[in-house]
Amino acid sequence: MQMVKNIVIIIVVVWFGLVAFMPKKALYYRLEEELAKQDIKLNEKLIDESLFSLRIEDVNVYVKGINIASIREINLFTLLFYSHLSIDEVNLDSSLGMLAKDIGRSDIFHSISSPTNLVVDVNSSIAKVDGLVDLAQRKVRLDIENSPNIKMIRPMLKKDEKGWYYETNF
Amino acid sequence: MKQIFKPQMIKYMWMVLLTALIIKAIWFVIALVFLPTSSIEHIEEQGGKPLYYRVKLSPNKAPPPPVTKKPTVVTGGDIKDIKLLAIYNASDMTIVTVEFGGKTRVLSKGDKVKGFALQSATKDWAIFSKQRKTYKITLAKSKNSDKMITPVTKVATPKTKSTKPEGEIVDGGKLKIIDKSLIEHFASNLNEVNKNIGIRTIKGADGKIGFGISFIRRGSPFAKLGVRRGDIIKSVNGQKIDSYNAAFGVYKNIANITNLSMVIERNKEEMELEYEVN
Repeated sequence: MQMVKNIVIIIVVVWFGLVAFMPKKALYYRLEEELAKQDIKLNEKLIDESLFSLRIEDVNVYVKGINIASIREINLFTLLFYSHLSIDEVNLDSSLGMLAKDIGRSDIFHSISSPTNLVVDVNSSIAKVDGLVDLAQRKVRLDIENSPNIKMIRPMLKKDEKGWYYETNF
Repeated sequence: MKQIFKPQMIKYMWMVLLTALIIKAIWFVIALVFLPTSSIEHIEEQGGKPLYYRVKLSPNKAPPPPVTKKPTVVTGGDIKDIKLLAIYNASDMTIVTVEFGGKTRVLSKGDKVKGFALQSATKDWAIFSKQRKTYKITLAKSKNSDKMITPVTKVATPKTKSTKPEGEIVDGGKLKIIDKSLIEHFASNLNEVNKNIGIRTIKGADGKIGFGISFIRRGSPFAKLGVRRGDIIKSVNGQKIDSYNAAFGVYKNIANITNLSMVIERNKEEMELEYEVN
């Protein structure tokens, strides 16, 4: 019994130490470095690191030097076994001719109960989108709520019994 | 002496602190060795700028063109035969120039041509009326005059935004004049640009990027710009086009410029093309 108690305490302390002492800001800089190799750069005004989360404010996204989007806030909350990434107010550059210029809020969830899947929930100016990213099969499926605004993107969509959806591989 | 903490509790505390310390130390080493300490910032490049600014030295209000007060009345004929060539619209005066039957006429408000009386005009179109019917004639920009005439019931009804480009490029010898509405149309429709002109990227040995023209749609406004397939765009208004950002910066600001100077490379020779935006 004593042995079990010791193991539990060590697991809890290790988990807490891993999450709380994680150099989140430095890991974000590493992510920036990796993205920069793909010609994607992120300029942010504020990076705020806390015990379980990392908050980045006023992010400008540059692809090949072109400012394609601005994001008001990105918030990553992680307990390692459960993570939640929320992206608030994405404004895409209108001159790019993109269909959805404003994306209100996007949420991406990851849970250890389904380690190879990411759950996506997006509220865009065109429609509400729910989806699943299968990391093992490298597949994305986004179910798009039927609304008159999706007329413009219908050629890119498929339809099944659940309704309109977008599917791609990466 | 009575102990405040049980020895077992102290042992646990030491274990917790030591584990936390070890984890902190591991993270510290990882951050020190493998992780960067500063952010990568993108430095914005300066976009394309106009080479010169137009300064009006004349008084603010240009004198109105000579007006024939005598009403011109020509009866009979079809509205389709009338072509609207020019509009002068001031707060107190509206004058238009029309062409019909190979002749041009200057009309002021109330004047009639072929029985069609000039009612009002905006910068793009004029309203004529005949026998209680109103007709809108768009300023001549297209060769197809039939499409310029729209019977309307309400004078104030604005025309819906067309997806087809409006405006023309006038060849004035060395200097070409581009209609501003044409620029505005393409500035807000990137897909339209891609349909009419193909731009391919060329990577130089120095890592710099060049932009070459891969195709130009025949009959499109781009075909009248004087550029050809195979040309490489070197600079626009003094701004070197050697990165995606520079090219996109020019595209984003194109609707705000009043003059355009473009240096292109054709058959390994550089040449300059000049345009005025009106």
